[in-house]
Amino acid sequence: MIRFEHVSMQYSSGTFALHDITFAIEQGQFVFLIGPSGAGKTSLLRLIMRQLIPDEGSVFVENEEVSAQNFHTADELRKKIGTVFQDFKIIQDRSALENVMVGLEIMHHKNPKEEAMNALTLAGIEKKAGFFPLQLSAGEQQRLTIARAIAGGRQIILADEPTGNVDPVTMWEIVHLFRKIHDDKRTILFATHNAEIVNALKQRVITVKKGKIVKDKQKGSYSLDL
Amino acid sequence: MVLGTLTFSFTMLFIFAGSILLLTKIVGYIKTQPQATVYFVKDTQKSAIFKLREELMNTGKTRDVGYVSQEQALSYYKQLNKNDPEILEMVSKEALPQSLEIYAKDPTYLEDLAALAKKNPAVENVDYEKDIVDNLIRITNSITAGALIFLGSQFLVVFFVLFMTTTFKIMRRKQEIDILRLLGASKYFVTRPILKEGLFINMVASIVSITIFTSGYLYLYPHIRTFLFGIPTLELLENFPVSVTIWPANIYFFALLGLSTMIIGGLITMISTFIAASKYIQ
Repeated sequence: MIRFEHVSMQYSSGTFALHDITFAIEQGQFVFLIGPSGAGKTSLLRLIMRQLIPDEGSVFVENEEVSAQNFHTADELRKKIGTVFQDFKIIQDRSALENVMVGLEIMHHKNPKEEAMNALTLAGIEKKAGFFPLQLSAGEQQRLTIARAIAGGRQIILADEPTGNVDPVTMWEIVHLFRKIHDDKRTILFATHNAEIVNALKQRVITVKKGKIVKDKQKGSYSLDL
Repeated sequence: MVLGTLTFSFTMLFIFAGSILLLTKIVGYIKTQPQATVYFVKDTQKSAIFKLREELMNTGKTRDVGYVSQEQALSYYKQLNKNDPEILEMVSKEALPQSLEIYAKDPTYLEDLAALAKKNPAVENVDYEKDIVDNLIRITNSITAGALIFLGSQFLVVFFVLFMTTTFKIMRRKQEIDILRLLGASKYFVTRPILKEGLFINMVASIVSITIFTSGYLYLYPHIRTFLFGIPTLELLENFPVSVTIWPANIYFFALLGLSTMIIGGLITMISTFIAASKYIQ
């Protein structure tokens, strides 16, 4: 479903942001991406979204080379991918329901309101549908972004430190929600610093350090030591 | 602010565009009038008159040279003075000379044509309003050139205002636009609300400006009518389904002017939004 082939990216200073990255993620896999700050986790996610283009190598999503120079359908690509960020990225002057609906409108969904309500229900915040982001707690805001990410049947979910801004109790609620999403056979790439989550879920773990993949282990645990 | 600037610019556009159109039509009308009249001495033979007519036409400087007999001259005279029976009683066809009416290809040829006619011994007098025609054309050309420069600058102002407004809106909504782009929204999807707003403001500004312009015209109409005394009804467009008259201006003229501004303003809105979106939305 997602494939990196010898992907490298350099900063203007000449140092590598990513160096010869190669891996593949099959449909329905739950993969943790771990590594210290600045290791290149976010860059990897942005390459999948075609927010970045590699200097070398290729990135494939659903067998389509999204890193190709002549790839002109980034909008269509992003409609297939749901994103969850540490800083939520919610539109502040729209209600929770509208925030989810806008993603569906972009996808030309036939019944955006009903589908948005379904997603909010799955995320457990259907009672807050009419609330604006400022009226929601951090945990509720993150649930809202998850609802937006899964609405419309997006099959790939990219999460960049999704538990970074929430308290420990809410953190486990968010993790539980991701497990629930994964049960629907969605592909999840979850970048995190949190060892507890990684160790608890026992999923595939890709460890990135200084722009290189240093470990790729099925049912792995959190360890930055080599 | 934006609405005010656009309304002002559009009102100025109407004033200058309307003036240019009116002046162009008036000059066009004047050019259709005889620009020089050659009067012949009494009892001149028709053959001599037609010989001179041929000479004038052979110069290649005339569009037409028309012969006016004494009977025709009397008929015109009667038409002109139909409300004054006393004058009509006093004049007979013998009192009016035969004449040739010269329509020059260009007013600058009038001097040569008049000189040629004056050489003919049968010619009593050549009457032409060279200075008036020349001055009118010169003034019209100057006003048209000035107005075109002004119109161009107003278009630039409109473009600049709309471009800056769109840019400001994009910057203000940058976070929202980035989120929408992340969700797969196309550039068109994210700029559509900005474009709609721009088109709406453009439409309101056009309606307000055409209302101001029409009110101004109606207020000044008595003065303009005095100034343009003798100018007949001037059609703006030939062979148009409805009669659009620029003088005196009718409702269709104002409607056409307003509609044209809405369309042109709409195009400028679309172009400026497109450029701003291309530049600032990644």
